[in-house]
Amino acid sequence: MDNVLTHRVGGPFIFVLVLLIMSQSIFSWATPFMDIIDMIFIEFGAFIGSSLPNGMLNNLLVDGVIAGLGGVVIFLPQIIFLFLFIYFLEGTGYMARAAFVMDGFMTMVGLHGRSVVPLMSGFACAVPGIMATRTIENWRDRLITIMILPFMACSARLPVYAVMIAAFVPNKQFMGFLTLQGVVFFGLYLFGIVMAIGSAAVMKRIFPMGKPTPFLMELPSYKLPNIRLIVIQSLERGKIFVSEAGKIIVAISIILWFLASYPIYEPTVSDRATTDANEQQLSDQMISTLQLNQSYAGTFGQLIEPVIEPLGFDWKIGIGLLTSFAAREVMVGTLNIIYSIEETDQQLGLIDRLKSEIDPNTGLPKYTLATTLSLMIFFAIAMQCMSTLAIVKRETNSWKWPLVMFGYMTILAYFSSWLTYEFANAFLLG
Amino acid sequence: MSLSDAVVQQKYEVKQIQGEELVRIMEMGLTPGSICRVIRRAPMGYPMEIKIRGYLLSLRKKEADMIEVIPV
Amino acid sequence: MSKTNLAIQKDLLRQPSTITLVGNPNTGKSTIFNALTGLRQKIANYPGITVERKMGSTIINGVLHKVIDLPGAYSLNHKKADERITYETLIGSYDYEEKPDLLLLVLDASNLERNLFLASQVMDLQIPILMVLTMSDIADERGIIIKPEQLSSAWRVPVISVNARSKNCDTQIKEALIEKGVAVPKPFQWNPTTPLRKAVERLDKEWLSKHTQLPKRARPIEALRLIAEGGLEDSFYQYSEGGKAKKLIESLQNFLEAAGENPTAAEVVQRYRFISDISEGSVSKEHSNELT
Repeated sequence: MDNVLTHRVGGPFIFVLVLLIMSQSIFSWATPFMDIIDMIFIEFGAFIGSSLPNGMLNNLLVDGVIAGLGGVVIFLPQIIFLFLFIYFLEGTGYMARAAFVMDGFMTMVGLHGRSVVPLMSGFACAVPGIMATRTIENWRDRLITIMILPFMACSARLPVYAVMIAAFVPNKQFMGFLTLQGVVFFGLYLFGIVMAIGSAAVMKRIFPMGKPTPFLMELPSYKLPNIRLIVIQSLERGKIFVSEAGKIIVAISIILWFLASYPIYEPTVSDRATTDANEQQLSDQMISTLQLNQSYAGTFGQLIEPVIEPLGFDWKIGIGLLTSFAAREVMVGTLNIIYSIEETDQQLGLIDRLKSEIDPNTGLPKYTLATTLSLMIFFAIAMQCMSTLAIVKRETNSWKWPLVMFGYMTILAYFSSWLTYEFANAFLLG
Repeated sequence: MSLSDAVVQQKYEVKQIQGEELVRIMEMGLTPGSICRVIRRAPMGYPMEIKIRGYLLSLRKKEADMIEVIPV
Repeated sequence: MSKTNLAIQKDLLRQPSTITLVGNPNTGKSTIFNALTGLRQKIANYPGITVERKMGSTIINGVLHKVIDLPGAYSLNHKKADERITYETLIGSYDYEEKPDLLLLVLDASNLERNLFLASQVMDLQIPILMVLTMSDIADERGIIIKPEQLSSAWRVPVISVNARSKNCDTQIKEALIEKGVAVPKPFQWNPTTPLRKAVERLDKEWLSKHTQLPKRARPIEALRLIAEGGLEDSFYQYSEGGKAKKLIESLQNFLEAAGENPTAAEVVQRYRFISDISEGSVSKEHSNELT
């Protein structure tokens, strides 16, 4: 068996195949469950929302607590499916072979053969990926893998990339058979990987070595895995996530809800007067826009505008950066609210709206390709995900590492975006 | 010779181990006098897989360099 | 210390006790833990470190016992965080873990020599033990026949062989705990050479017993480590008079070298030598079936 699975050429090939099957199955199995969970929480929120009298408690429960719980439970399908795979491969004895085959490649970039599976899982979502680093025995290798894992372009970045690319990257042919939009999309994935490798190389030098422990990895004999054990262990991982990371996620959700909902906006007569009765929906839309803009989150956006201006961002994006900390895909929803996009066909509406936004000072379109590229680079790098920070806290058992992660990724994102913006302005416009 | 120069499918006797953390290597069964066989090498040459005391163990170059062997 | 062949204890499980699982990685230890505890288990981090603590409970003869699954280890070397937990729990000096009342020492029968290395170290700690052999089926396939009775008489502890994958694995272990009981192993069964034994005794008597908090049964193991590696600075204990200890250790190392032994290798080599000698009686390889 080992002659095939750890063959010098065939081994890596088989491993890539296993990874592909794994990612594809997790994706296709987890998605329906995630949709169901999403629906249940939305319905439950709507039910609570309509059965309780309007007011602060109602909002807190629906938009704070239930939305926060939903944000926790939504991760369960991916976590459980990934661990079913990992425990299965571990149980058969294959995992050590995969590490054996990949170790040579991974040590070149300063990592461990066992880093591959967690890093690949990071393309779906960093949270299960970080939980999967538990298979890396050496603490330093494990820590570096955790610290670079959020650079893998996770699925939550997709909607943001999609909106931005559709709005601002011209749909031109590239090198004959590719489209420019497709190339930018691929470039963002590649960029994440390059950042990960670069950061790993730097961390390898910075992090204290301690005494090096020799690399002595046992290749256990192949055996049939115990299915009952695999199921129990995978469910246990899900339980750990909910009970330990879940608390932090719900708490931050409530804080974010508070920042976006307070102080409460009181619509004035003139606001109402500007829209007539048959545009009542638009009026509600306007109210939520005004609510967000003058909330603490809105104030925060305006407050940080001078700081993010060199990146080509305005205060509206500033608000989005704060709210998308709940989860990256929230950015799209926030921009929808900020720009008062109607519920129907939000994505198209937002794309058109962004395109037509005019800078009052210059009279030129406000969102240029430079701003878009800068924002996408920011999203590719910045630690815009509280769930990741919560699981890093759990897995490293300390607040130190999530804070270091947040700090270094934000700084890195800031300077990369700034460089991107300057470059793009110099070469694409000037 | 060192284990890192060993040839696949050959059997070797461990003569001695030198360097840091050598106790760890011995604890895995690679004691002076023990017999090991090189099974294969990974795609990039390392790690290498050996059979020692009836089980399979993989080591990187750094560890293999520490182990002095003679062919059996 | 009983002078009989097996110092069997059977009444230990009449009252609630802590059953601790210890063994190499990949031995089926987790499978046994899960079989014993089922869904009555809890996983959390040990305080301040990233090692997970696996704790559960099981009922034997109507008495509820705690079950602890220690991190898998290849030896009692304790430089890494997970190894330190295993070591400190076994010697009973780790504040965040239950002191073991009895051990289930789990061994992979298809990989017995290396598994017995850790086992021989653990047995030096004199905690009541039931040895649990797993994966005898894989050993059989390779033509390695292990006779639990012979292993039992070689190491003077009760031994059972279980199929960790079978449904009644927990029942097999519970029945063995009731019927075969557990035994406190004799320390230093691996016949350390006379110079090594002398060196350990001297380090224990002249320094460890006077200047450390180590329990008596843990001191020989610590002495062996210090003689092999020096490494006072790696130690987790507040040694007083470290300078004096350093001199003593160096003089003991010189003493061993003068006696023709390599102080670094002496313990490991002798343990493995004893294990392969004893294995010839309890293990028979019917045909050499080399795995590749």
